Amino acid sequence: MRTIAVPDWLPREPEPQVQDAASAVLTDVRAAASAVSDVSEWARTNGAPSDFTGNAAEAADHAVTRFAVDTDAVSTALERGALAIDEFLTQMRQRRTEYADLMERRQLLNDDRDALVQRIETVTDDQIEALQTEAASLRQRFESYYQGLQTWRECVQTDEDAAIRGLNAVDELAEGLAAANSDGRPDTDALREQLGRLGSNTDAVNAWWNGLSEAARNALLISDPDLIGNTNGVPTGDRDEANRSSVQRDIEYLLGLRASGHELSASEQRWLENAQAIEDSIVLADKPPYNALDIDVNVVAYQPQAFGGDGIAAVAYGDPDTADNTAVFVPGIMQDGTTIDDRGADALSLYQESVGNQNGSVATIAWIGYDSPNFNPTSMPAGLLDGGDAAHTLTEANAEAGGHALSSFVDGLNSTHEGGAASSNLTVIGHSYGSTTSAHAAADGLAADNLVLIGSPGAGGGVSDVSGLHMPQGHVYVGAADHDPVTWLGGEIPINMATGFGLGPTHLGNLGLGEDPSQHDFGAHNFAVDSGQTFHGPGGLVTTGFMDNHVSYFEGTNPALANMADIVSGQGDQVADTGGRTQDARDYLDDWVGSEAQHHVVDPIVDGAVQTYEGVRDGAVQTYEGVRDGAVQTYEGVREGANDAIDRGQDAWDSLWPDRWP
Amino acid sequence: MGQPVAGSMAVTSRKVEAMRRHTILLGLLLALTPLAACSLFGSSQDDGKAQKTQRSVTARAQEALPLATDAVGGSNIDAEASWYECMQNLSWKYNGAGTFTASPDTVDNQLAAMKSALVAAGYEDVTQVEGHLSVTQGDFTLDLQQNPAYGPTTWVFSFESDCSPYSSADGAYISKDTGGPIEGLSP
Repeated sequence: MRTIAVPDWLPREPEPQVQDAASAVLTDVRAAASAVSDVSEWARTNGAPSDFTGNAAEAADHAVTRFAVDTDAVSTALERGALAIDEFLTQMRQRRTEYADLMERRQLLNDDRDALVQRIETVTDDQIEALQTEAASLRQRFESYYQGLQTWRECVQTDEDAAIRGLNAVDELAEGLAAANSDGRPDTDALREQLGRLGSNTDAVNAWWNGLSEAARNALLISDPDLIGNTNGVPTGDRDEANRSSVQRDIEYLLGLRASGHELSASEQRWLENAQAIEDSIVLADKPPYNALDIDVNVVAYQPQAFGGDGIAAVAYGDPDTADNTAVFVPGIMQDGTTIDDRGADALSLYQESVGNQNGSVATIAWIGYDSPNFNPTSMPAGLLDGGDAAHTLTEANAEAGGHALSSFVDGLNSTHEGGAASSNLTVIGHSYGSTTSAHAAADGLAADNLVLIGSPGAGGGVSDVSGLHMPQGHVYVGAADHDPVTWLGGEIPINMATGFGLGPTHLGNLGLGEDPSQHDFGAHNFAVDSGQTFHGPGGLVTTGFMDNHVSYFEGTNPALANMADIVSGQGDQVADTGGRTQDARDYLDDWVGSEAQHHVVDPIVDGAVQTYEGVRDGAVQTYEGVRDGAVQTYEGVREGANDAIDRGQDAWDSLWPDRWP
Repeated sequence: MGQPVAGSMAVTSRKVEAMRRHTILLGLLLALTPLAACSLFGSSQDDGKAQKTQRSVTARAQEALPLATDAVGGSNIDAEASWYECMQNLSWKYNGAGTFTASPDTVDNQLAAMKSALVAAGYEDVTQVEGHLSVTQGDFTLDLQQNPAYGPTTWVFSFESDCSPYSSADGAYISKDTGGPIEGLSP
């Protein structure tokens, strides 16, 4: 009997599960390090209170200075620890890639083995030698796989040992003190100064950041997470790490305050809501259905104190530094850092629809990076209306400032894209006031491939048509629902104020915020959207018009979402152009007012008239019917009488008439 | 008969102008005045509306999703729902989303089967997007699609109420809601 030795089926190697856990630990350590660094910084700059003199001052100064030195040592120890974990995570990312390759090899080997076994089952004598050769070759490949697997396991062990050594090296105060005083410790003050000199040149920032040592980057992530997390040009992953540690630091601090019996002030409460909204926006991607897509979530902006506590927040679903297609969604009024979770849900809907097109990888970003007009009274300068800064909806001031911020953010995305800006299809989507903001950015030179304006109250920036937006030809897209009242505001709708004294009205401006981009003459590519529900009265205008029709563009039932997804995924040429509006925006407003007049004024009058007419008609009919009935009755009476007479005559005649003639 | 109507039309013309001015003023007021929000949405006259909406949407989801899933020989319905703020402090909707697995078939066949089952159960077909099925019943809308990113047999769905204002008390209820899975969805 001749034998063909086939190697054993290869079992699956357990996947290393350290990534999520270690990432969480890193965020914890960085958050703790940042908090301790802040305390140390405070102690170093304060020393003894200025009104202390003599021995007491010296003693206090010594105590505070000692405290500063100790906290600095702790901060340095945590910084070193974070560096060790970060390096471990970097290694683990490499190990995961290697693991995936190994498991792919394993699958191929097992497939080849199964095929060989099948052929052996029907082997003939003359085939045995060839199959033995083949089996020997397969055994060699199996052996090579085992060697690769063993090397990989040893690398994982080495990485773990290195991380533990790094952590052990600074787990005592003395070691922390030594690390704090070591010559190799990065000088974060100097690094911060270097960064400051680069200004808003995002390419320069990116080059500078990538040129730093791992230790220097790590030190900055701990000493200045708020700066690094919000600097355009810093890679997305590093911004995410910085911002997550800031969020965690803030939540721990504020919840700690509350737990200690301190009642949070309104601004502290808002600060907490900003931080928790970021957390919620991250969690969203782990819920169905998105959890099945394994989305890489990145917090790319977090400034809870910005704009009087309204806050700045931006969350990316997917990695914009590697994505083939990236979208930046700019929401409109009533948005601030506390609403990033709900706007994140919009960005997730867009992500899902876009990846469904299977035209490359996707990242969608909900960006609340400008001062969106809202009703937050605490963010309004004292002495002005108590309507928060909602009054800013009437002007383009916030949109103009927001446009600059948006341009800088987009520049940062272009700088950090690993394949260069040209390899990424970048779309900016502005909704409502966000469309005005986006148009301002475009008018000033927005470095994006596509611009989408939805539910727009007017394309700002003084542009009269699509050419003023400086986008590639055919790449300005507009979606406007017929029953979205915000889209009725663009163009010329003057606001005049009576001045009295016979001077005539003063023109205060227009109701909208620039030209209506959905006009055919504006020259944009208009796409189909759900036209929304009709509504009546001021109540319907607010609840259905503003609060439903105006905010439905990201719903799965709305063709707007699928069209935007096509644009985002680089398939804008597949989006049908509806041609745009040929009626002025104000005509839509006038038509609605007219229909309201019809609904509230004409219809009741006509109904009344009809009722009257019907009353008259009914009366006439009744009269006619009475007359007719009377006449009929009379006629029928006459007829019946006549008939009776005829019958009677007939009878008489019949009685006279013989039964038969003789 | 003609005279009064002609008269009323003349009145209507003036009313239209007045209403136009009122409409513009309304827009301004909406933008300017938080009191508008407070007066419109701060009353507590309709407390409990949020819970009613949540119960109603959940009940519809518990009815419609098993019907849709059953129509395509599907299983493993996984859904979560929560409140979503359409406009900050002004309007909200209760919405959910999830996935289920269907038996292998063409997307067109499966869309037709689900549509047939849902329409027979009294849902109105309001589909506007190719490759989707959208149905509605009262204040409940369900959208289903076979999204290739999830794999060939996985269907993705979302359901929701309309965006609507709620009272202050409802607002407190909504803000405390952290969402959660929808139970009772097995066909």
